[in-house]
Amino acid sequence: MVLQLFDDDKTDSGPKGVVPLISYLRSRQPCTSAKFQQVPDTWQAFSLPVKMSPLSTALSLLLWTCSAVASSSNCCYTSSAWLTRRLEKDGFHRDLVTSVQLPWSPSLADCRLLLVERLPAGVYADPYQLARLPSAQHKVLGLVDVEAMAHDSTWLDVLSWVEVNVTEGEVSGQVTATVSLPVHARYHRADETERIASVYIESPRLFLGCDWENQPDTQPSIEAESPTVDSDDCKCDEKEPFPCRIASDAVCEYHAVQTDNSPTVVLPVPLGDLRDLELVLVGTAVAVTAGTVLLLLVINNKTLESPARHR
Amino acid sequence: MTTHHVLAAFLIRLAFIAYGEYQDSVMHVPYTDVDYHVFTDAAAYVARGHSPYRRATYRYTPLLAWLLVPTELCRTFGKLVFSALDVAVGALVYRLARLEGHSRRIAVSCAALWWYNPLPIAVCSRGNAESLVLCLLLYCLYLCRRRLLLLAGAALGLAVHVKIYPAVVAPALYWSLGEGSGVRRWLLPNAARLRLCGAAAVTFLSLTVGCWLIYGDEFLQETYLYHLTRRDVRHNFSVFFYALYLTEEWGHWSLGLVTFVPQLVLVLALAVRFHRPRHLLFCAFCQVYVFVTFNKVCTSQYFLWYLSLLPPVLPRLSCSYLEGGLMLGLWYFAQASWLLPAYLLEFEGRQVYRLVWAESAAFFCANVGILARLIRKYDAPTAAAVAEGGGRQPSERDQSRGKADGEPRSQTSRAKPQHQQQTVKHRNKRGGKVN
Repeated sequence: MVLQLFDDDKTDSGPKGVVPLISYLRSRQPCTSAKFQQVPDTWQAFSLPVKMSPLSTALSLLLWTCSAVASSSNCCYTSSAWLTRRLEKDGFHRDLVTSVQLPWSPSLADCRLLLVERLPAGVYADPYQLARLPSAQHKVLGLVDVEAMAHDSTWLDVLSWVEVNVTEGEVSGQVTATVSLPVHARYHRADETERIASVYIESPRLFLGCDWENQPDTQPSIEAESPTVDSDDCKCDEKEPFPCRIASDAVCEYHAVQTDNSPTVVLPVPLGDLRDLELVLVGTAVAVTAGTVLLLLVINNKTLESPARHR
Repeated sequence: MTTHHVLAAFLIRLAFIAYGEYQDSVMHVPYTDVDYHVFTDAAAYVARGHSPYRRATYRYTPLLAWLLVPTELCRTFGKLVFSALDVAVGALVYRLARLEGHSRRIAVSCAALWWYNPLPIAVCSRGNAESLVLCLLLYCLYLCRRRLLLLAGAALGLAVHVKIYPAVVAPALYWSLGEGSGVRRWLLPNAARLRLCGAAAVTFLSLTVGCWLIYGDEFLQETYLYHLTRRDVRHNFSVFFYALYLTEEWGHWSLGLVTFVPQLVLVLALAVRFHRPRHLLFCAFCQVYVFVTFNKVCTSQYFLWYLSLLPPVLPRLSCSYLEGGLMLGLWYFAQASWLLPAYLLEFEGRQVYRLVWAESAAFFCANVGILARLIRKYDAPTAAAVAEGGGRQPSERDQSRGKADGEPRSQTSRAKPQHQQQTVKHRNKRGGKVN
């Protein structure tokens, strides 16, 4: 919302003038709270060791803001994303393709997108297959029984990491990230009336994990010439811990990204027909029995060695 | 001459392995089978000191994972081992054919049917481990024919530890070592039987107990119990698959055991009929064929189990080339006609379960028909008839190869005393002439 200030300003030199400055200061709020703090509170957060004249204070603030912006945007991303979802291929083996569109903000630099998919019991992702993919961006949380039927299984969480394309964002003002997750349908129980079972895959939760958020030594430094950001000033709510990288055990903080829509995809799975039950049981029994009897007869009547030998 | 074939066979497999690596890296559809990844992942766990059963769907002996530990360094090591074993299968086919009394030329032709057969070439270069158990079973049969019973028992014990199905030849082996008649022949152990069974039991038990001590109940569950009680409802060649899928809701694990009855009955019937040492190879072939055809799960890898036993018995089948070609064509056609609806089901999501089942039943009937025909056409000449100088007409196959049956006997001096020995020893109740 308020960060649209920066969307118009391509040179990334920060707002000019005091009025935009104050709006900017207002904008540096916790991500999920929409209310604005009074400017005096913000003033207090940035306390000066020496009482200065208002003009020099304003100039210092300007300097601070510019340097803060120039050193990139270490603040919570508050725009919302637009999701597009579709299932590619046919049959039991599909690719779940998700496109995420994000309005650009410098807050996105040095950040990674994290999609948290909750797959229903009717489908699964094979963790070993995912580990073999060249993109190496998916991780299954927990254990998967790849052979279980749908009613014997439960939901599954899959994490997908996507890098944010900074150059694309700066140029076009928008970032698009696409993720493809191979999923497999489970066998569903046969039914008398239904021919197809529909598996509904809900939209994923979106998170952003930024380097600045997880630096161990981000401290407010008032004495420094170009003061570093006080990350407490700009904390995000709705944070959740997830692995920092796909291969690491270290845990980082990721903050949630709102989505404007929640598309659901449907995977149709063909079902066996229970009305066939009698036919199949009888047919199988007849075929197997006939086969057994035939072979027993042939074996019994087989004469070996001399024709005179009978069994 | 066989050395050239052995080298050529291995080089062909190497070439396919190399091609497979290329296809894996470049194309979307991988060449390597999923099973190979299961093996190498399990081997990776073992290399790090864990249990191979941490790898989901690893349902084999831990020995296989141990064997494949070098795949940590060389990714295709497993495929190389399987290819070498596959070439060894061909060599064993050659040795078995020679033991059966066939000439070197015929024996090489039999082995060539395996060495240059695209099916085993594809299977081992894709990374399936079938060649390990095939090698062990063929070696066991070879050792039995050579009367090296302790080793044969050890080979059988190891084979059954790797895969359960070689156990089907056990009754036939036991009865093939019988002497006399009645209870003594059919039931009571003698020195030979004790050697065979003792070695098999010791090998199998020590391997099982050893692995259980290391890996616990998980080993027993994954390696043995799973295969005995599994009711895999996903579509496969087996005629039982749809019945098992539809009854899944009321299914009890005991249903999985009921399907063993026809297999058991037929395997025993074949053993009763064909247990004589000279029919042992054909007996094993028929038993494994029956086991696979009547099994509740059947995938294309299983076909190699009996296909590896077919080449050494081929010279004894009095089928014409036309008939043989027709049977082979029928077998392939039945498979292909199953693969079509299976593809439509799995990769297009069409509701074709009934059609897949019909094709499974048709494939089942085709296999039963082919086996019945092969049993009828199995023409075993007796040593006595041959000694009398042509008690049996050479089959058309032998004729086309320009070989009369009498000739090979002189070349295989080892086989001869064995047959003569048994002519003396084995007389059935009716006192008729026996092999």
